Amino acid sequence: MKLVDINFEEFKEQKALLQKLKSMGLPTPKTEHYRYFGIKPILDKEYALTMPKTQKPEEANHIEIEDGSVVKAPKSLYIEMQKNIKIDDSHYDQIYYLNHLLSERVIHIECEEDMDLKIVHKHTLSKALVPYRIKLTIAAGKRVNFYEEHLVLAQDALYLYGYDIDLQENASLKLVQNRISNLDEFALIAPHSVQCNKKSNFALFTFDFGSAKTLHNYHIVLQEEATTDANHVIFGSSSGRMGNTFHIENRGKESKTTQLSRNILKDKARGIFDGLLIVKNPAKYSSIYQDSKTILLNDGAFMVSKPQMEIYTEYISEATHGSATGHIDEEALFYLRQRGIEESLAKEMMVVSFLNEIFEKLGDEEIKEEFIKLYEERQ
Amino acid sequence: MGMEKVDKIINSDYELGFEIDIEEETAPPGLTEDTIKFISAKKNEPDWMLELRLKAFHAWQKMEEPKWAKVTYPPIDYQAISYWAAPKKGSKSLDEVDPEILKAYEKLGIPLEEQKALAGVAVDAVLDSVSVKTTFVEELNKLGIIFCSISEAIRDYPDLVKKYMFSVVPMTDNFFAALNSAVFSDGTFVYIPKGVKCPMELSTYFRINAQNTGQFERTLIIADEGSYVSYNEGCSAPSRDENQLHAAVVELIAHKDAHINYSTIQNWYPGDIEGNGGIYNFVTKRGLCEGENSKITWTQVETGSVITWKYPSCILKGDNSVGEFYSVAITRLAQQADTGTKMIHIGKNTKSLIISKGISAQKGQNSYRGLVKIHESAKGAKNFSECDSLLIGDNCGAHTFPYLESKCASAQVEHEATTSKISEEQLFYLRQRGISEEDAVSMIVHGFCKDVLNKLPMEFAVEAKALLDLTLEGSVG
Amino acid sequence: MKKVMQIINLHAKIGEKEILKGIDLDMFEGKVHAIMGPNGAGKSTLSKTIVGHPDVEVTEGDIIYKGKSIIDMEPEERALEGIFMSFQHPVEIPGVNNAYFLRTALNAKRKHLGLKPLNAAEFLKLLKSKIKELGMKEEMIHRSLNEGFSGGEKKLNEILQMEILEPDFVILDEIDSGLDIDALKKVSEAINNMRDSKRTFMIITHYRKILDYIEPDFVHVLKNGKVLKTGGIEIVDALEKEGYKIFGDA
Repeated sequence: MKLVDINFEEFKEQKALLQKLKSMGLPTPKTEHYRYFGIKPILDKEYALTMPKTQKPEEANHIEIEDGSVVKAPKSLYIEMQKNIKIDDSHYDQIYYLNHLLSERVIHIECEEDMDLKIVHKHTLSKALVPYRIKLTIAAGKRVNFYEEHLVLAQDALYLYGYDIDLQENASLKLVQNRISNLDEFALIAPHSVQCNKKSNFALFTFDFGSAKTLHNYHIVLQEEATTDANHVIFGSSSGRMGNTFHIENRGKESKTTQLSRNILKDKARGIFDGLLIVKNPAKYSSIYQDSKTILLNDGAFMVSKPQMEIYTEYISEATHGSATGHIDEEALFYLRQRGIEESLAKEMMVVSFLNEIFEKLGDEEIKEEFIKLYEERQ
Repeated sequence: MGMEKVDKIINSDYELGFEIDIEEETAPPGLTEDTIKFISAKKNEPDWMLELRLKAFHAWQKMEEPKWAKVTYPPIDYQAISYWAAPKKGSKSLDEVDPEILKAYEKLGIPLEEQKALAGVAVDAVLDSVSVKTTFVEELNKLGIIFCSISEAIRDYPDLVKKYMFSVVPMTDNFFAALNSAVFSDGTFVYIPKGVKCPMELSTYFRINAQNTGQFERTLIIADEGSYVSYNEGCSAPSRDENQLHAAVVELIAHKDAHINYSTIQNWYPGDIEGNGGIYNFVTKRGLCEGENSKITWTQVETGSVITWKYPSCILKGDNSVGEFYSVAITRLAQQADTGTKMIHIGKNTKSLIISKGISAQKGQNSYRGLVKIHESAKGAKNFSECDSLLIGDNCGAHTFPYLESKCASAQVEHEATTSKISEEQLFYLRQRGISEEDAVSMIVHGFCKDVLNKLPMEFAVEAKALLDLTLEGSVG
Repeated sequence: MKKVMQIINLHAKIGEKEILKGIDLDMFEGKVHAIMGPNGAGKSTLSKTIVGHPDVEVTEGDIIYKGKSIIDMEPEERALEGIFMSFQHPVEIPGVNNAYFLRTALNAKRKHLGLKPLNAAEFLKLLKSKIKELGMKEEMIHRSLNEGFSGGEKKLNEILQMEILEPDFVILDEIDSGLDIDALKKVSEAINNMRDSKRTFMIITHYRKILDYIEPDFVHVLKNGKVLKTGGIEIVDALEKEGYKIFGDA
């Protein structure tokens, strides 16, 4: 079946969702957050809709989700397949509602304690359309590190997944999304919704390396004194098309959003950074900051940067954004070469140093190594 | 800051809201092929022009009004608008212009008698659908400069019009451009021959007077190789409770080594604090830097209109060509502005600079929307944008929507934006030196806009500064 | 001695925090009053209160200046009455020309005094002579207010404004901070030149150094929102040796 041909009548029972989706309609190439992604071929493509099966997970140290089914999980963790979860009623992405419509049961992970968790997504079904959703609840005052990896084997497939994250008061979540895929014909659309309650902290690190077609659409809402610190690295090559779009709404007073994006693009790859930061009128004394930088390694690589702000109160502590797209600093490159470093290595050093701000903030050498390996492979 | 006071500063009146008491001939409301034939006949146009208009009209009928801008307004009934209004009396000779019109323009600060005119400024005065007077025509003709109404140009210089009209803004470019292409009434035509530096500021003053009427002017400026021209437009309208539509198209062509400076002081009636009345200003302005080393500079001071939808743009086709956009946009009352620019880099080493200053007060919503697009061919291209917003009061909004696209590794695109309120510390510093709060606010706002105001030709900078003060008066709050 | 300012049982807070807790202080025409005290004593809050900074809320007490209570007056009214404060951190105002700003301020004052405004040429002449006296660079006339000025240039610019506006009551809030010894001398000399039998100075400082150049008539020690001790220059010597603790707690 094609996404455009979905018979919504089948979902009559889920009235609210259906209504929402109908009022928004399916995305078109003109839909703002799909504008640069190329949604049309995906909507028109024939996929075999494959709903995840419910099965008893094997015991393991980490969570593994294969084609939408939880196949492995730590015993101590509370995971449930839940129906009728509360959904975000103001998400800007229509696929969020479609994804929920197609995912009757949601994988609900509840974190009642401080913990470090790893989740591996395996995408194995070629020519399939696989929808699933994960709800993640972090209990009040708890701190959770959540590390996500994707293993992509599916050719010519479309996966829809995403998180509904509920950060309760004072909770902290560090979510690291390591999304490497070198399959050109793999597509993934992931609408996420994050509710940051009072005084909660959300740190997000996303790494998109490779040549797939992926788009992550984050709707993040911050209540009083909540903070979001979002960091993104894209390294796209071949005909990859990778993007992150955001509506980050500062709704409560003294909330704070910072966002860094660093992109390296090569071949015919396209990178999309589309971040709308909103400060609502009650969010007095909030601050927002956004910075996007890109290096194009060759002509024809394409970066679209849309750092955007909507501000509805005069009482704003900081509202700044910047964006720069350019190339490797020739002077610095020459300096390194004059010191005897060969050009390709010098370039690599420059590229790595360009990303270092985010690598260092994360404090994870492994991802940096992965990047370097991939960068070298792609030379 | 003491918000009550600031409020006082911005609540000034619209001083240009008077009505000119003359007899006008207006077409009945509605838009059909017959309306277009009527307009074309009124203007004694050649057949080829009518055909083009009808082509545009048919295309427009199939188009949809754009909805992506951050403005909201009730649906426009295009059949309720009259597309033609002209003073009954009047032709191009000064003796025949209705004295009421002369008086009105004088009241607007635009004397049409050449001896009274501002030194070094030639004016084309457009009232509703027609050009009522163009000054200094003979003097300019001596240099080979053509400065006339677009209606005259269609009759007298058909080859130039045929070659250039629709070449930068195609008739089906967008909904409002297509509408304009079908019904445009008058506007200004300028041709500067090779190597000529136009010695005067050329200027058009647009005035909407008739009720229920839209104004659809079209301006075409061609700067041939090595020439230079500085052109300015101003505008105003009576204060009325109904909304009036203004959908203009401006096309600029700069050939090799030519430079066009285009300044706008937009002061259409802004409506009231509840959003009643005011002009809907949907304008397509675009310049083509066709030749090498050509340059187009847009400068705008936008204080009027209840809705503004306007993106003066540059297509930088010639190698080393330069596009600049300087903008001050103030939204107060219930005004909404979605304005910015597009800089399309095609040629090598092309450069663009965007300086945008948005000021929001009362219930105003001010959006900067800009596109910088670097084509793969634009080796060594450079863009820099700076978009700052100032919020005065807690019920307004300031929004920044840049679109930055680059496909060229040797190009550089840089964008910076900041939104803030008037700093308490700055305000206090000035007040501690004995400067009143009103003057202090005005001083800070002028400072905020300085980089843009400095780009206006002197004669107009004075006007713009006065307008800024008038607009701010009573809005701070 | 004529009292020019009388501060009576002044209590004031910034936000929720009470900082001034009952200040009593008399200041006299033509005299130099030095205000010293440890960090957080309330020195800067006191000067902010005198000039009417919006952050400060007076909760009790009064300030009588030239026989009138000023605590309900707008900052610009107080300025026009002759109160001038040299800011610890002069703000930068982009796009606002230095000379234009200062002429506006001077003409506001002249208007208040019933004098004719100075035109641009007259003003420029005055400004240039003062700039020369202070050894400042003339190009500062064309720059934006305090923008891109070094710390020393900013302080000198405050002094320049003082000279042009000729106030009666001058508050110098840590004018010496961030100045090297040459700049300090220059600033002190300018201040000494401004001293006369009518003009009162209130010098807020942490350091003795400036008081070697500008000899105070009175020294007041502030601590914990109150005046702990009033006396002459001998207090400074005691402070130098023993620190603020010798005066005990308020």
